[in-house]
Amino acid sequence: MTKLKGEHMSLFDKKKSQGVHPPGNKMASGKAIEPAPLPTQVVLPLSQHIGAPAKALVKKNDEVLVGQVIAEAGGFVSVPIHSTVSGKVKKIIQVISAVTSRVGDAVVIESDGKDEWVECTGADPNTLSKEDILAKVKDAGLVGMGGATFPTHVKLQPPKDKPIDSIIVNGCECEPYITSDQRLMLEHGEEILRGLSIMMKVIGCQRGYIAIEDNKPDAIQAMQALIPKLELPGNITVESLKTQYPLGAEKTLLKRILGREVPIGGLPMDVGVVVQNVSTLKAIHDAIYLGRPLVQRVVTVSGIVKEPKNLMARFGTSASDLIEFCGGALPDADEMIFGGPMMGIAQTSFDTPIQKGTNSVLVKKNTKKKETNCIRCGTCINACPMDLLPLMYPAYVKNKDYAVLNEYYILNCVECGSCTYDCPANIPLVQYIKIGKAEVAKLGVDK
Amino acid sequence: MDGQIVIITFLTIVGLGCGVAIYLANKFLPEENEMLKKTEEIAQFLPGMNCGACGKPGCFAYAGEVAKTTTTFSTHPCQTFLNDEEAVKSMGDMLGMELSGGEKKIAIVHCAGDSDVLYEYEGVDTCKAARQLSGGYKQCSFACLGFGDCMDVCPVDAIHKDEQKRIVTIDPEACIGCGLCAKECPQVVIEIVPADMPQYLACNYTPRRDIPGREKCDLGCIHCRKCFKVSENGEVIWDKETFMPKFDHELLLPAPAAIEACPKDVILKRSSSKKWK
Repeated sequence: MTKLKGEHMSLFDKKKSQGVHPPGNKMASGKAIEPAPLPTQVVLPLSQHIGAPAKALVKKNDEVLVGQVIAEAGGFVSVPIHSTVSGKVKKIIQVISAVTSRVGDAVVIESDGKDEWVECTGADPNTLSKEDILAKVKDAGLVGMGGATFPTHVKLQPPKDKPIDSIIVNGCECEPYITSDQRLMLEHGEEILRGLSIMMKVIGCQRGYIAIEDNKPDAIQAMQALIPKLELPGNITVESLKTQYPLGAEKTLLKRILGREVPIGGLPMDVGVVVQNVSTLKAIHDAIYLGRPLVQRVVTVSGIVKEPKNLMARFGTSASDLIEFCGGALPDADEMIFGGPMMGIAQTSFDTPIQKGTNSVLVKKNTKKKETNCIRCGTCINACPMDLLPLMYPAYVKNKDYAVLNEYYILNCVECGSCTYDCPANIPLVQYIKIGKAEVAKLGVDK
Repeated sequence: MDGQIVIITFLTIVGLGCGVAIYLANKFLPEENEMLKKTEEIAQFLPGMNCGACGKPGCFAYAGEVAKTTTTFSTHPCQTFLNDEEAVKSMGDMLGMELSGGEKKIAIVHCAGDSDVLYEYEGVDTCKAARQLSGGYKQCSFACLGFGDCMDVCPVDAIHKDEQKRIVTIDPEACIGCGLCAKECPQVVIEIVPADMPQYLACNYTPRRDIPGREKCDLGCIHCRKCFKVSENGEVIWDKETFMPKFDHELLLPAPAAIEACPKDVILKRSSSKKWK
């Protein structure tokens, strides 16, 4: 039963679902994936993933080929970085990460325009052992490409005491504007399913769900038609879900599909599930069947650009090159975001290079609203998919009472931005929560 | 009528009983009372600002801790109290122990605020939030961001904003060296030094190479080591990790030659220091 806005709602009504409904704005959903022009120069930060940064293996003036390892993994939770163009290493510079604000190294490679690849030898996964597949996945530099960039080989090795019974393929793409996963499912569905099959073999489970929001009926149809055709082992089904933000957040997603709730501070593997993005599955397929390392991904360029497009872009390509390829930004554009408008991070320069976790380049006009006082209306509580009380956080952050924030489970926040989107007082709740989270983490270190 | 008498008698008995109980408690529980007295006496000599820099909820709570054990002075030093020689002496007399006053300390900002603005930041007005977005809105990501997180915690209002340079400045006269600001600063640009420090480096740019797009400002340390080369008696210590000059916190040697030699004039003289006489 749906209730209209303004209709009386009891305080104790059990909420059916939480989240918000931002306008989709999927402008590029009808555009096929196009290869982006080869960049003349790429900037490859050595820390594009969660975990230890990679260690550089190349020096200035070294000749490299596409797919050549230029930095080795710096630990277990780390992946190698590969060159994405063929050419010469121009220099190694320092960059500041937009996400962590930490200073790290980056390799600048000048392309010779020849696009020569290293030798890639594919293999049939049926002939490979589990360890071989894991090693290949790690060597290919795979990370979760939904945006969190968690090394895939770690996700594929859950601890022995946590048996995994299902894999959920995340094709929800609940963020507005982004269409890269949708296009991938339409054009590379077979690769995604084969990737899923490899993953099911490695983890050793029989159940696979492909979760797609119902605002992408074409993708649902395409995937449903492909499953019987490929005759893959195991039980794989397509789940059509009612569109809502943030359905693509892994914890929300598995609660909706399987009805399981991840414990506080836990991971999906605690309830026997692994959630993986469709782009990552395609990358797994490429790494095993073709032996290709991760050097490119689909990036949606959208917002106020002349012609929104889905591009297959090499990592390290400057975002301004991609925008230029899409006809350039319209004159009133003054802001560029990597990711979607809800969770993406604004960049300091239009020249920021594309990285492994960049699923979208969004050009927009800045619309900053003035923050006013909280009226304690509780809209944010209704919007929160994690059942938190977001309205409590700004007050405690302003008063620097960080220990209390932990009692309100601030670390459980997924930073989806639903509370900020719905707040009638325009309070940047997520920003306060981010400050609070950093400070709570510091408290933990002190103790 | 009878009922009223019963009530009056009952209440009188209860009242008398309570009175006796309080008298007895006062007589036979003297230790508690003495503790309170001692706490009150100790609290007289404490600054009474309740700044919380010692780690206790306030000056009275601190006095209570001291009354229990005097090692509190060393485990949770109260900088303001230790700076006040007279109070330290009177407290030592009262407790029957020898207390030595600490050296007066002061907070300094390692930033001259000349860095250009890289982008206009429009979020929550705190340094902590601004820092999370690519290391701050200034071109130098090690600079003071000037939103004044430190101002909020300063118990004596010694910190002021410099709106033009978008940094904070610390009034050396008012600063008590409690160290709360240094703990609060997310950029780690504030340091607590002895009040007689003759000079300090007004820069925090630690990387040895320039970060493209995040170049240091005109007043930034260029790690040229000139100051280190001209100082013959060890006035300047070269920190091999950060590649920046450091000044000894105990010897407090004035280094006029180093100030002269600095090509960027980023070593600033503190003329209020006694060491220059």
